[in-house]
Amino acid sequence: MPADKSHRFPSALNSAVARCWQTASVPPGWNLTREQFQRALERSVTRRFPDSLPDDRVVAGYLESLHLSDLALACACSAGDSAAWEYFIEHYRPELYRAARVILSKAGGGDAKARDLADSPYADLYGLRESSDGSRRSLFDYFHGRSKLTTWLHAILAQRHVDEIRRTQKMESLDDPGNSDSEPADLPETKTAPLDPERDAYLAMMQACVTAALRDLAPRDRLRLAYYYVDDLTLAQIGKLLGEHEATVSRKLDRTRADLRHCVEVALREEKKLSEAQLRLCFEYARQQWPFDLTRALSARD
Amino acid sequence: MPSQENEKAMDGLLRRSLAHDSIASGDCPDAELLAAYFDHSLGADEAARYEIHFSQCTRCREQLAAMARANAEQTADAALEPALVAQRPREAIASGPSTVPFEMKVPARKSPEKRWLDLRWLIPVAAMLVLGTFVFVRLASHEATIGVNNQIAMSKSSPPPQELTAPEPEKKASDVGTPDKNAPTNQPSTAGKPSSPQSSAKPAASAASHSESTQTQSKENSPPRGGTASRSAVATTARPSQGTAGRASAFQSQKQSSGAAAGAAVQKYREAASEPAPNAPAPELNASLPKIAVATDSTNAVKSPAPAPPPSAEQKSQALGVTGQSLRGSTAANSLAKTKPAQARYTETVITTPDSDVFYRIATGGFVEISENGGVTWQRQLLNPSAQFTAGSAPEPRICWLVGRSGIVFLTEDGQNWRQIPSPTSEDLIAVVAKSASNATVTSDDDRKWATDDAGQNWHAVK
Repeated sequence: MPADKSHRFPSALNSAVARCWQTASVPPGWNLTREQFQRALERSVTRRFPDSLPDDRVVAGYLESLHLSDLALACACSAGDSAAWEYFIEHYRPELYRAARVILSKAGGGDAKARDLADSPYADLYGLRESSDGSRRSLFDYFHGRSKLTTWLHAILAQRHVDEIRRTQKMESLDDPGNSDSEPADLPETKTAPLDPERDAYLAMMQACVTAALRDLAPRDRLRLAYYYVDDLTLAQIGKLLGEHEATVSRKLDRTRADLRHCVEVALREEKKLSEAQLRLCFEYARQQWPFDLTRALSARD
Repeated sequence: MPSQENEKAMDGLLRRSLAHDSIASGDCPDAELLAAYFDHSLGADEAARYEIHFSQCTRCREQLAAMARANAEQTADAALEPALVAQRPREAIASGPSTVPFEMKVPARKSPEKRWLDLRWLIPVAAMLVLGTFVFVRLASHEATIGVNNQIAMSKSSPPPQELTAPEPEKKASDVGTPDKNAPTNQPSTAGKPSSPQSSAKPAASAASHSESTQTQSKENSPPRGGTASRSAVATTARPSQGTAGRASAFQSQKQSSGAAAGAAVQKYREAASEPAPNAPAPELNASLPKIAVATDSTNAVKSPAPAPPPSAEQKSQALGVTGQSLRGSTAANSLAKTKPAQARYTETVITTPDSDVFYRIATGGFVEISENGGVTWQRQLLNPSAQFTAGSAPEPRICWLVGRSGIVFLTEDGQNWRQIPSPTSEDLIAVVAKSASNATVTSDDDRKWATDDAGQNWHAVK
């Protein structure tokens, strides 16, 4: 068990632990002892600093940054305290269900599916499932207080949902036209487009230039673009994720996009030696229905 | 080819390229690291490392996106229905197991018979409409009478000069009858409403979203910007209540719900606003202002099991002539966010505290409002008439940091007395994250950050 391998706090950290215990304000009805709580803190520190226990001030600062009341609740639930479980059920179950509905809403899930998703973690939270070594461990043991308990539960739901989607999608072809929600369906088809023998070549060149430009982007810029174009998040949601003001998100998206387009145009002109007319053709073909997905072919690791 | 069509082509290319580029998902962080990254609790080195992974891993990105959606709606719900989201003191729960089975627990939704309470915001609106109509009709008849009197006076052989100038203040007074025009406001939503609606089709509306981005950017770059922050700035750090013992006494002296005080707040607001005060109102109009405020305030003071601060904000804004975006539609606004004009997404900022009953709210004109009863009533305080606050953070119910334009930083340690503390910059500050009365990190408009450990006496730049 990780608890056995966790660092033990020196006595110099007693005051820090006492402050944490006070901050957690554990209700007496939960039957959570200070020793149990200290074990949870030690596990958290071990998780953060796996190699060795750092300086006491660093550890104390880390402990103060934890969501201590949430950690205490997880600790008490993991220990099987009924009052703590009742508190958890009463206060987090509606939130789990609400989050499941929101998460499933994009996938078109119904109320029953949301209920299933929201209830799916309980067996693991209770510790009913055996691990590979035969031991039983509550999912709460994996919560170390580095985030809010609500956010952690959201993450669990999101992981389960995304993994389920990806598992089922492996059975389906992603090239199914019905799945291509990103097609510019409102754009008019150009009847003459398939007749142009150069069309595929233009598109391949353009896609290659876009891929190269994206590869050179800073990870944060690329992440911001992906949230916006692929995940359809709003500026406010992206700002929340990246810790930026939504006006900043908007400005940086605009700038990155303009830079990308400039890079693509320069590459098409200078590397591919395309004329302005050919460049216009590239963009026109790109607006139309895509004949193939070169990016997937390029993504050898996928 | 029109440039706009090229933009569409570029959008499609980006969407395709970003959607399929992925790395092997073997090194994906677990739920706790994802959650800690989402809560910005990771260290800078850890966050940067995982950001590289997230930028290439579709699976992790999808998970984070799902979390962002769930969190956004949770934030909206928390702002709208603090009493439902609020967590009751643990002492009460831990005192003994409830006899109600788990399946019987009330979900976090209003019962149908209580939903009609949501419509109580109609009461002040209706009252304002009636009052406005009454004042308008009365003014119109008054002006008509004056006009007749003037005609009679003009027909005389030698009219005294005083009689000629007599109608002047009455005309000015009539302007006050339309408070929306004359009320001082710095809200950006009134400044740049688009003339044409944008396309609502999200997948094919990248050009629209681009234009929306441009609008946001132009808004950001256009001085002076309105002093309100976006809804994304609503603090979401509400944690389980850690006791409410000392809370009530601190704010007890601030409780104020009388109509006279509300009327005085209106006058104070107008005096404090940077714009020149409206022309001197006629005596009957002066009398009408407190009436409007009384109606609004008394509505806000209605005790209800599920108070909703944002509607209250809208009601008060309307009463004060300040146009603000309602937070009630924020959930729908999220889904339509990319099709709405950027200006429309800016609204008042509600700052939550660890105590689910205590909220701070930034208002225009250098005001901040405090509620200690879950948003049922609000106490308004004027900090600085020229200040335009943009964001705030309250690590404790009585400790709150506020930042705003031109690097302004305010702090209260008792929920009543505010003091301006030295600022690290004169640039606009758009965010603040405070851990205590002495420890806070502020962020400027250009993403620079400064932190202090001694209540602003010394600041140091952070990455």
